[in-house]
Formats: sequence, C-alpha cells, structure tokens
Amino acid sequence: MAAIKLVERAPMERGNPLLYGAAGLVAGIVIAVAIGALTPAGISGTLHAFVKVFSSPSFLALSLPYFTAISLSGVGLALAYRASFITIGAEGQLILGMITGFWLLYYMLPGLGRISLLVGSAISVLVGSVYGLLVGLLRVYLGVNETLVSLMLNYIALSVLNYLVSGPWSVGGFTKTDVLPAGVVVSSLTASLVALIVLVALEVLYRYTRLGVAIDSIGLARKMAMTYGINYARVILKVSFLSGGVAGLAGFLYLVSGAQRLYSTSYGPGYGYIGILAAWLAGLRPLGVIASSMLLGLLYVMNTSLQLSGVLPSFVQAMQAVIVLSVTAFVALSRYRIVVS
Amino acid sequence: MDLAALVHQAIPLATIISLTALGEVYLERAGRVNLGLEGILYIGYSASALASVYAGSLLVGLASSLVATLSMSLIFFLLVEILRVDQAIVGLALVFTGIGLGDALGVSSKGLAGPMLSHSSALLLEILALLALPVASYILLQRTWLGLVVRSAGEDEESARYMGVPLAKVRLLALIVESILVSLASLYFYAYYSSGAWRAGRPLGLGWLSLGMVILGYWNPIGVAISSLLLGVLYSLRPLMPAIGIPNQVADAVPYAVVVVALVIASWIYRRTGYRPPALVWKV
Repeated sequence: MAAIKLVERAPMERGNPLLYGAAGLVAGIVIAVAIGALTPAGISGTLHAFVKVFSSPSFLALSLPYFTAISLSGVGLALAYRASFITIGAEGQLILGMITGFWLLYYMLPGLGRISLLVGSAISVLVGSVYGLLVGLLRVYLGVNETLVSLMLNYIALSVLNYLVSGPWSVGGFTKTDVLPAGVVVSSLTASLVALIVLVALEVLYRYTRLGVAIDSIGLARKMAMTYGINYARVILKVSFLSGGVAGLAGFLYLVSGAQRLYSTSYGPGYGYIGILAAWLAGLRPLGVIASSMLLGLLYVMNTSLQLSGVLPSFVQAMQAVIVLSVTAFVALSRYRIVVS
Repeated sequence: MDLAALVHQAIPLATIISLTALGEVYLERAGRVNLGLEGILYIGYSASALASVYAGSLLVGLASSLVATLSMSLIFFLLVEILRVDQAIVGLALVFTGIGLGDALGVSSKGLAGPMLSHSSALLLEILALLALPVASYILLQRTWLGLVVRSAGEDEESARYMGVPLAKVRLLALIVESILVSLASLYFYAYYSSGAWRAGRPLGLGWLSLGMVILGYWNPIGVAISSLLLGVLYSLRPLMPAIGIPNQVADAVPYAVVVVALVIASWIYRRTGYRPPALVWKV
C-alpha cells in the first residue's frame, strides 16, 4: 500500500506562500460552491449568485459598508492574534460602537451635523476600546481565557442591543429604531476611505513602531521577548485597547454609512465574526486585510440573492469559512513536501 | 420553587452541556483545544434532525449525527495535527462552517415532526452524562495507564514523544471520543430537549458554554459534570427573571454574565493556588 507522508522542507526550499494561497483560494471557492448542493439553491444557484456578485461593479458599491465593518474589525483582530491574544470580541465592540453612535447622534447631539460625527466617532471608539480592554485586563491580571470571555461579552452586548430596540428606543412597535437624521448620514465611499486610512495607519504601526515588534515577538516567543525586557502585560493591554477601538469605529461607521438605524436580529450583525476570518485570510497582515475584507464583503452581498431561494444567511458565512480554511491549509502545505512511498 | 424541583428542571440542559464538555476534556487533556465545538454541536443537531425525520428512526439520526461530527473533527485533525495550522483559526472557522452547513441541512426538516426519544432512553443518557461517564472518565484519565498517556500528551510534547507516546494517534482518539459524545448530546438535544422539532439557531451558545464548563470544572470530568448541573440550574431560573423586573432580552444574557464572573473567580483561584491544568492548554 502506498503511504503518503509529509516531509517538512528546509526554510529556503519552501514554496511561495502567495502562490499556494492563490491555489487555496481557487480550491476553497470550488468547495464553497460545491457545498451549495446542500442548500435549496443547489450548486447552479450558488454558482450563479457567485458569478453575479463578481461580474458587476454595482455589487462592489453595495459591499462597501460591509467592507468598512469587516476590515476594521479584522485589522484589530489581526494584531491581537499576532500577539497570541485570541479574542473574538470584535462583534460585541462593534455592537457597542453602533449603540453609542446612535445614542449620541440621535438623542444627544441632534442638529449638530458634521461636528456630531467627529464627537460620535471618538466616543464610540472609546467605548469599544474600554470593552476590549476589559478582556485584556482579565487576561493579564487574572489569567481568564480571553476567547470565552470575549464571546460572552458579545452575547451581553447583543442582548443590550435587543433590549434597546425592543423597549426604550423602539419605534412603532417594531424591534428597530428610527432612522438617523440625513445630516449625519455619510456615503459608504467616504466611510470606506476612512477605514482604509485606519488600515494603513495600523500597518505603519505594525511595521515601524516598537509596539509592532513587541506584538510579533510576544506571539512568536513569549519567554524570549520577556527576557529582552518586553512588558507582556502592557503589550496585551495596548493590543486589546487598540483592537476594541477599531471595532468600535467599525460599528460607528457601519451605522452612519450602512445601517442608519439599529434593529434586532437573533444572530447579531455578524461583521465582527467575519472580521476573524478576514484577519486570518490576510495572513494577519493589516494591509492584507484590505484585500481579504473586499473578498469577504463581496461574498456577503451574495446573501441578498441567495435568500430569495430560501438559503439562510449563515450559509454564506460557512462558504467564507471554507475558503479561509482552504487558503490556510494550502499556505501550510507550502512548508511540506509530499512524499509517496 | 424548591431546590429539588430546580435540579430536576436543570437536568436536560446539564446533560447536553456535560456530554459536550466531557468530550472536550479528553481533547484538552491531550493538549488541543477545539474552539469549533459550537459548530460541531450545531451540525450534529441538524444532521440528526434531518436523518431522524426522513428515516423515522433515531438510530439513523444518531448515525448521521456521528458522521457529521466525525467529519468536522477529522478536518480539525488534518489541519492541526498533520499540517500544523494554528488550532484557533481552524476551530473558529469550524464554528461558521458547522452553523452554515447545519442550517443548510436542517432547513429541509423544518416544520416536520420527528421521532422523540423515549423517557427511559433519555433517563439513560442523563445518568450516562451526569453520573456514569464523569466517574468512568475520571478513573480512566487519572488512574489508568491509558489516561497517563493521554495526559502526558497535554503536558510536554517533547518529553511525551521521547517516552514513545504517539501524539497524533492519542489526539485522534480524543477527537473521536469527543465526536461520539457530541453526537449523543446533539441527538438528545433534538429528540428530547426540543421534542423532535428542528428550529434554526436553537442550540447556539451551548458549544461555547461547554468550553467554559471545561474550565470551570477544572479539566476534571466530575467537576465538569457538577458545573454543567449548576449552569442548568441557572437556566431553569431563567423563566422567573421577568417576574422580578428583568426584561426578557436582558435575562437572555444573564447566564453568560454569570459564566464570565464564574470564570474570573475560578481563574483567579487556580492562579493563586498554583494548581495547574494541562500545560499546553494553560498559557500563563
């Protein structure tokens, strides 16, 4: 019987991870469309929706609000994961950013126009940061598992949202709020440009500052980093604060450019979760998150056409996850040689 | 309501959480964390619903649930053990894959009544989940040679390898055990807890809570069963909350908030006492 073995290659003999990643992308898309066979849309319906989304530029414009929310959640998570801080709290921070933004723009600062946008975004970022910092504090000082705590905090944020839209802020008996005044609504292009600027700024932070080096070294070899004088606790706190802040900004920008109101869904908005996938798809590089979020944002638009044929929204997330799994598997494969003996 | 009634109400949910968490105990003792538990439980639930409805038999439902959970675990094994991909991303991606595929599978059994688990078989599963299995697992893990092998894989990989522990095989075994227990939990959830009716999103959150119970139960099967039971009691208090002025939407979050607080206190105690879980799982 032929045995298949993976032999690790020497560092200089490794394949180009980008090429392998591209192959993984193709394979992932094929698998993702193939599992469409399980849905009422079938393979042909899924393929049709897929081709439609990628063939018309109008869908790119439609995906911009999602791009904003996904990329900003993803970039913070990418830095956190580099420091081996496996938080999944972007969703809750994003929800709190949306809630804070709506509260300020609709209730606190009506009629101030552009100024309220500046104030609102700053405070939303702050709220997200503090919610993120909470996870970091618990991790560093009490040793609490960050993945679970951040997940539970997501559920708590979601229930606050559901409470607000069904109770105090509800309009006309529906589980949604009123629409934001037109003066504070921003075009999705502007919002995504703001997101781009933040992404570039974080790439600069990652590549050219001490914090960037510290984040990497903590993730790769924590004991060595600490021996060389890097303060583990401080780096984790900074990363959790930073990633929470960008996720809060993601929520704020999504509110003013995309949703324009708060509404209740049982699963929540979900962009913070897609941000996890975007971060890994980008190989945890801030600039790479731009490309991965564009792809995942476009895939998210498929929801609208697939839902017509009775496919639940969670299916598109499964397609996204399958693509990410396939890309990471292929990139990992570039480190090995397949030997059949 | 008296305590006995509360515990009685708590048992169904505790059974599900305990079975799922016990599976994860084996895996974490062997040095791996499967964050995809949420997705695996979900796809198991939907697969058992689909097969039970169309075959009319719960055994077929169990088999199909097992196939679904095993294939998810196999993906985890291939990516993490063979290709050495970070276990966090594989687990998180499996959450989304499991929920999405589960919804796709389950939706065709929506609104159709499936067979229900009889009370006697439900009782059997409850005893298994909360009594027999925790004790047996404790003896297996702490008092036998095989348990020593499993636990050594979760402490120091290099030393274990030098002593001849087949790390990949041990973890594959743990993953298979986990799949079996999760498929039992998902069948119980479908055919007893939700009375044979599939609804999208019903088991959401239970997988994450099980991961929390592994920590609260201190990677000890008996501790896991006890903490699952406590969580079940907490959930059975849930209907009483609106009566004392807590709005429904907020009451949904109460179990999560309590688990956060419990995790914080437990982690603090573990740290202060220097009592240490599997080294590969505990990163501090």
